[in-house]
Amino acid sequence: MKPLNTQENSIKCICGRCPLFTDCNKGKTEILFCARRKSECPMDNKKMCICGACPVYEENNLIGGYFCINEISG
Amino acid sequence: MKLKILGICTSQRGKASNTYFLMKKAFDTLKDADAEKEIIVASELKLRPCDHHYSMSAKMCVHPCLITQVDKNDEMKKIYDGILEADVVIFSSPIYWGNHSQLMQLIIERLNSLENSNSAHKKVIVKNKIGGLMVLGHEDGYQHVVGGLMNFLTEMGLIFPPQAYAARVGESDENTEKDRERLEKDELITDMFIDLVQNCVNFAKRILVCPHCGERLDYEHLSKKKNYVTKLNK
Repeated sequence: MKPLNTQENSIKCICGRCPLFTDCNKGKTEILFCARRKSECPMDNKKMCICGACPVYEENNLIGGYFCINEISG
Repeated sequence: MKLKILGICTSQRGKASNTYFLMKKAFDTLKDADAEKEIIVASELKLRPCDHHYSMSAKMCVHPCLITQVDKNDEMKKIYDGILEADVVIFSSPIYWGNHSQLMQLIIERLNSLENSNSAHKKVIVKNKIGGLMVLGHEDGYQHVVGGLMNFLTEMGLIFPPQAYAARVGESDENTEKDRERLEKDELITDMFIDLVQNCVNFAKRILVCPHCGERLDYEHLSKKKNYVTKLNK
């Protein structure tokens, strides 16, 4: 289930702490990729995704990861 | 019944290895018009090591693997697809310090996505397939190596027939130069590997298709972790 793009989820979001998260993402104020859309920045897929450690992931029963690259449809 | 038989050679030396030599010889010797054969030489593929996402959350370990999804340079998909399309899957590995090869270990860890599909995602993907093993070494033992590999591969979903492996260890003499010559000349050794492939094929023909009605086996085992899965999905 695609999480809701809410303020509450934004606060819980840990994207900013991810090894893939760069100044480009920060500059474009990109976070909460699972609820929104994939990043417009080049994302280094060789770095470790941490989506599974996020409360938004857990609460919405998400599976998989790299939502900054793999946009969740819906 | 047309059978698809897949060999996966996990020696880092690839086609120059004795592991490949024996697998190829056994596959070439199998004269079965109903068998489609393929050997994947794993050292020729670009394979990224597992990122162990499972340890962060079991739900992150999915099939296709996340690496496969995001990294188009990674070629593990050839192994995933090969296994899923095959009726018989035979792995070969040399022995290093009492264990299977590092390449085999890399593949096992990446195959966790298939095993995890059953245990964490309640979707059995690997089923109704026969497994076999070929193991080659010197002074290291093979029974331990075979046991470890069978442990994972049965959990992943392969069915092993009786005597499902062929193995050979050489002398404890630090002399590996003469191994190929020995393998080429000693029919007792090569016969074991040929018989292993034949054994797997015979078993596959017997149990994957009903000999009377021709119906394909469609067996799906219960996930022994189904109660854990319920908890994960709450």
